[in-house]
Amino acid sequence: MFTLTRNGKPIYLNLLQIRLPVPGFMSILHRASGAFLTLAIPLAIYVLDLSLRGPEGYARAHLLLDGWFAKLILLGLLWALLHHLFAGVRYLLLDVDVGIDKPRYRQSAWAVLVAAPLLAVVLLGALS
Amino acid sequence: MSRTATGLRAWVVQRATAIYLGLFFVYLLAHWLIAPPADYAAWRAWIGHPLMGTALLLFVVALLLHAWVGMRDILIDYVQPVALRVGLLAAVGLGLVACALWATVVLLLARL
Repeated sequence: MFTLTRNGKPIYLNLLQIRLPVPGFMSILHRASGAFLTLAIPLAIYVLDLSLRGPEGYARAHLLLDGWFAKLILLGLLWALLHHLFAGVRYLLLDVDVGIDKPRYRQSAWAVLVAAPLLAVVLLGALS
Repeated sequence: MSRTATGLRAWVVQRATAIYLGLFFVYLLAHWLIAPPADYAAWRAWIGHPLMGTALLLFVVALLLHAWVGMRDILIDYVQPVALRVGLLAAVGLGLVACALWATVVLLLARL
């Protein structure tokens, strides 16, 4: 069921029942990844601060990012960053009418969904 | 910008900051892949370089604005009770401003 606004237009925002097309799914993940990255800002500043407090702090920051749990979080953040970046570039291109036609906007949504996790795994391996 | 176009300003801010943030992240990732800092001295020299310091402070401002517009959109769309919405918006806003100040202090100390 849905509720009505004051001027009688329906609002239907049950996220569990809406069946999204692929670009919609990609779009929701764009929002979710953005919120996730926002929550990670204080963690990033904390590690940056630690790493700049002399050689001991630098070593401790290294140690902090080295465990399997930290690696898991880093993988999640890398995915979020790449998904947000790719989806964002896609939106900027759509803004200037690039890839706005029928098969293209679906294909590019799929490309974002697939490329982000793959590149996240590759980058985590290469960076650590 | 006119009163009737308040949404347009957020739209422009989101895209302008997105371009800077995107380019800067690509630079960070590329630099880290090609020439990761060897030790503390190299790391501090990189972060403490005047050009890098300026780029990072600009990054902090861009990130603050970008995260604010994005989080505001999410909260306005999904949080309907007014008191909860206003409370969360205030918490996010204050949190982001606090983070921006904290990051600025950290970056300025790195240049001493």
